[in-house]
Amino acid sequence: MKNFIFLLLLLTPLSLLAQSEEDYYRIETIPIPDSIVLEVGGLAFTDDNKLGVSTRRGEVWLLDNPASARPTFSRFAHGLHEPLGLAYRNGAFYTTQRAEVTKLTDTNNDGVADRYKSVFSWPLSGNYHEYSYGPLFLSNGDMLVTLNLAWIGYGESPVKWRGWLLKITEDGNMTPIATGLRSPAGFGFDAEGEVFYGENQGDWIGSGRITHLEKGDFAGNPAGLNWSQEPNSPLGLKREMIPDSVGLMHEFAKNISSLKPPTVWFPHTIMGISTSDILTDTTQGGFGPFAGQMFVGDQGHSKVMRVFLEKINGEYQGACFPFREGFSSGILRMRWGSDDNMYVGMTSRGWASTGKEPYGLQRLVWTGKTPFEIKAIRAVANGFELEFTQPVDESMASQTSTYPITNFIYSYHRKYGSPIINQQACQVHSAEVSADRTKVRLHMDGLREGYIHEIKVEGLKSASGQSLLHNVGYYTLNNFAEGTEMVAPIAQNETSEVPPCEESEKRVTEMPSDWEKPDVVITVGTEPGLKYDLSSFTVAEGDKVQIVFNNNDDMLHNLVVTEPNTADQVGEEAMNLGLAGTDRAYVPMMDEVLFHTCILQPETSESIYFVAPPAGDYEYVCTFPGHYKVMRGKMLVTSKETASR
Amino acid sequence: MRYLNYYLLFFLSWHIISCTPSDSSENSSLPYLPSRNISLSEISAFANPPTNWSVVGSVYANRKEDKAIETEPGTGVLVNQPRENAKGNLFTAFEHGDLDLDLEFMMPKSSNSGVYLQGRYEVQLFDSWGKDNVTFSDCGGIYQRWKNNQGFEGATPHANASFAPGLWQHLSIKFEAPRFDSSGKKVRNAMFREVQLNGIVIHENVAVSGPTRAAAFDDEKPTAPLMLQGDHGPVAFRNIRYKRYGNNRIALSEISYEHYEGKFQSFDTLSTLEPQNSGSADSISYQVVQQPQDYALVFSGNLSIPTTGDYLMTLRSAGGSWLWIDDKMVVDNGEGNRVDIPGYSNTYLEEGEHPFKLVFNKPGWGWRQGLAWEYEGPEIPVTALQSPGSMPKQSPPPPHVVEINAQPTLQRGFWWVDEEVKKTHTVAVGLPSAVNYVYDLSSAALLAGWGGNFVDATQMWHSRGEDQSLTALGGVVPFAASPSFAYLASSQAVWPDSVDLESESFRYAGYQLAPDGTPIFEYELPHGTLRDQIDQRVEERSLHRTITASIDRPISGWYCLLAEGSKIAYLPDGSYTIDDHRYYLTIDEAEGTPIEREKNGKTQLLLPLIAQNDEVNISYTIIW
Repeated sequence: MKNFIFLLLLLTPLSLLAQSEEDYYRIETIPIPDSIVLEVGGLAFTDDNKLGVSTRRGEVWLLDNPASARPTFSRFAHGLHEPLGLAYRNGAFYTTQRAEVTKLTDTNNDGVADRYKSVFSWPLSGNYHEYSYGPLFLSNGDMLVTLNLAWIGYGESPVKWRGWLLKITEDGNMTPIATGLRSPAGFGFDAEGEVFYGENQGDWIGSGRITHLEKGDFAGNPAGLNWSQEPNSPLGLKREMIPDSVGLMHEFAKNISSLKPPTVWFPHTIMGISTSDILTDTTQGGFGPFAGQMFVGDQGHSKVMRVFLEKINGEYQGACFPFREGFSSGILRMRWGSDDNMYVGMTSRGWASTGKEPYGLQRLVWTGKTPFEIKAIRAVANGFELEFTQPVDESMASQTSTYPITNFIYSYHRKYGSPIINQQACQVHSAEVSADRTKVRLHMDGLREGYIHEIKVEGLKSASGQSLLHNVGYYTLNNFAEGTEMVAPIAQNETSEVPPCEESEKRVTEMPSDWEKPDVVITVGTEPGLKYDLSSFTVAEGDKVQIVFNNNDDMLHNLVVTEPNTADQVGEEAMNLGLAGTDRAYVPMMDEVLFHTCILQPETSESIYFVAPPAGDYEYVCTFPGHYKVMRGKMLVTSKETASR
Repeated sequence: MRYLNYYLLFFLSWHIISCTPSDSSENSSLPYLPSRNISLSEISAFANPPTNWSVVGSVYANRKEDKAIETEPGTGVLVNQPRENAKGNLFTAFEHGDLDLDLEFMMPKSSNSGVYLQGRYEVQLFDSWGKDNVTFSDCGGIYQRWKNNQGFEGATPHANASFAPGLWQHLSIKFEAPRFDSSGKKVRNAMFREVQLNGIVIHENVAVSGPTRAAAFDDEKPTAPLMLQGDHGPVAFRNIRYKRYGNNRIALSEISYEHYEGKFQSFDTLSTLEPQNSGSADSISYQVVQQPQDYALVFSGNLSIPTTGDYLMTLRSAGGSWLWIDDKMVVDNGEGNRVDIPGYSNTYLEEGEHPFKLVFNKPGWGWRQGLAWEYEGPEIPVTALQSPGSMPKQSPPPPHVVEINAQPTLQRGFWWVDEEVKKTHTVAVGLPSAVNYVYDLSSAALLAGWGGNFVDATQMWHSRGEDQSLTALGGVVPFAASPSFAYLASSQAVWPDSVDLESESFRYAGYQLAPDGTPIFEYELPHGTLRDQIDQRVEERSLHRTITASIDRPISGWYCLLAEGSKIAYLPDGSYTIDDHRYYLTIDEAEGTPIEREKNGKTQLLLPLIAQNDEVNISYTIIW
């Protein structure tokens, strides 16, 4: 009998057992003493394996035994002004505060810093949005620092060198390297030691992305060009050269030599909403099968994604993939421990994240099991080559229907963010499986230079019967691979206008003509940290209701009224809309959705009109992916008799 | 959305362009009516002044000598010098009920006086300098009552906000007299709505059930003179300003409204349009419209002006607003769209009925709501004419206090030097003795000091921290905002107002913490390194600054700015008072001779940097 059961189990296809990211990479939480507000700004390991943590409260904490279950915390430094980065070199910590790079040394070895050397200072205008990040050490001992733009209703560079990447020597000599940055919260090296930085969706930035930066590069947001005429500026590009609405960045870059298009786009809401740190896998296998690849954090979605890079025509491009979600707060920093674990530092004050904790420190540990994943996507002549972490089931892998591929791009313009535009499907003609079955070469039509290619893999199993852990990758095809001929016609500045949201019975934006006036007008606004400023309101059934939704935040939001107890469901469906989400304001087509606004740009407003449904406790929620867990409220509808007016 | 701190409201209200006045009114540059000054050109503002009281030109009180006070002839300062046979109290010729009072006083060492509202309710004046635990009998306390040889009531100030003897201190009182019914029976106690000492609120809403000890009267009345106590010790006063309030108020009547739909630029087209809605209203409120934006609202009605005089009309609105009285535009707040920034103007109005029109235009910003129409008049306090619901309340965020520790606590953050200037490279330092200062690292400027608790970082650590500034938790005494060191081509050259961060000749290098945690700030000069250490050497509230520079070749033309202010006086004991007795400064060590000079209406005290054996040493102490 035992043998029979054993045999039965053996025959059960593994795919019937639900797998999750946790099976391969485990998240462990490092406990933080209650008295410490560890809003992580920077992480750095010392030479003797202690973990330094700089916090947004201006402190640097040292963790003894960070790899243990309960490290001890001691305060090394304090009084800094929001240090958003930390590095360790030759016995000292280096941190970037708002106004300067500071070197912290404990000269008398009492465990507390007593020397706060100012390596280099820059001016500030006093705007809260002028965050400063880093430093990151180059091998020769020089440091790199990035500077966020100010926010005055839009991003601006009111003082030197906001919006720039700077190189600073130990002696305090500064060389400006590149500009066009908006919110460069994370930056790091690839396996070759080249610098990449993460950018956040915002004005001029259609979606998050990572961009390779070299001296003289302009990465897209023109505000930093205010300083391009400084004597030590490495580029002469003037701000006036960038029109308010450009369209296709990749095309425009052909005329502007300093414009560096993004290396890998992270489609907004699918691959995060606020790209943060960059960490290359230097564990040489200690962290699993992705040695040499890059991990990218996301503050808003509390997750880590993965990037494969290659060089085509001498320029970097590549693909991003989902990797691990479920962290406890907003990810800002990731660093390797000597135990080959990824240490993740987090904060969500001011920008609420999917992980609801206000701050946190966790480590990501490889369990030793290799997941079945798309390991890499390479551009090849007239197609792509997919490499997998395990041999694939040959018959499924050679079917072209396994690979639905579309491509699309974002518009390059002054407005905040962009919907996807010019989306088209590609036709896969054949799929050749390699001899060792770890690679599949796709021949296809419809490739477009400069476009983001969504490559999905449906229904594919590994040779041992496992499903893919993640079945999508987004490849930014900045350059065709040599030999590519079957390309789609280049769309000459073919950009479509942002499609206005449709009027429908669920979205009525003009007061119905048969209403004299609304019975009730509810005004809902936003508060910083992904919240509505009204957590509930009451109307009577049958009331003519006008909701005015005001987005006074600096991000995109909507307001969707749902059936009772369905806000979570609706929010999740919106996340699953994928690319289609942008076309319909992230409002899924479901009966549970009763009424909704369009997606609103920052500092805009919309009214919707509806008749209050039968009595019940309805909900309203922002379905912009990642927001629904915190940004919601209740619409209480009373029956007519109990209504008092 | 800019996260507006309610308390910034009044700071921002300084930046207002005054508006189109009517013929007979004056432009007001401030959103409140001027107070009345008690002229101290002679003593006639006071009734039968006893001889211990006189008007002088200036006073000096040696802070080390008990009850010492010296005077120079002149006008502008009221002084009390009691003697055995002359120690009477001083009463104003006028009587008051509700009163806003603002004055400066100078306490000699160990002296004692008091301000008695209505001659009955005392705010104690005392030399409480350096006292850790204060009671009602300390400076700023509301004195206790006395009956049957027993004391009761009295209110302890929230903090010891007093300065050293011999310095001018600022007292600000908002007082309400007891209320009586028509038969003369008291129905409400006298009330101190707010008392501030040196910028710190020390009392809020303190009721006093009857005259306090040593009051001039033992009954209570609707009005009575103000009294200054003269029998306990010498004291000086200046800049005594007040506003008296009575019971008159403006009444509104026959209010009607018209509601026009749409987005308007201004009010001119309204007269050609049909209103969407109209009717009578029981009050002025934007809520009569029941929609968040895209409308213009016109209120009309009657103002009953109770008494002839100047009326300051103020509009605060989340949209444009205009006010006409008697068909003349009185307030033009057309550019307004934020309720924290008012439009206002002074208008002279005769007693009687006056028609008014108020237009409120709301073409957008649906998330901001509010319409307020307030006025201040002759003996009438700031009073709202709008209904309470017309101005939504904002509650302040919870505090984030940075505490003082056994070692000096540092915290960098932005710092508002005054209402307009925000410094960004500043660090606040809180010494364990509860003496604190703020320092501009970019220019080595010692900006200000304060005693008591350290700082509140709410503007940095609440949500996104949209101001990123620190707030001092004590009465701030500003020192000098200009850089402490500069090269002057000649002794008359203008002192720079900032240091370029890219300067080659003066560059901030960081700070070292001494073994006791005191920061020593370091700067690179072309000839060497300069070190700046600020700590406390004596028990009295003070800051001691030691500047040392090691230089490798002779320097000339470099100066240190010790102090800057309106007046600098050299005292018999060799120390100085700066900014007309705002704080004391003693030079402890210096090679050169201090230079006093006047530049652009300010007096500066400079010291040349002179080296002895390649070392410059300067140290001085500030006491307040």
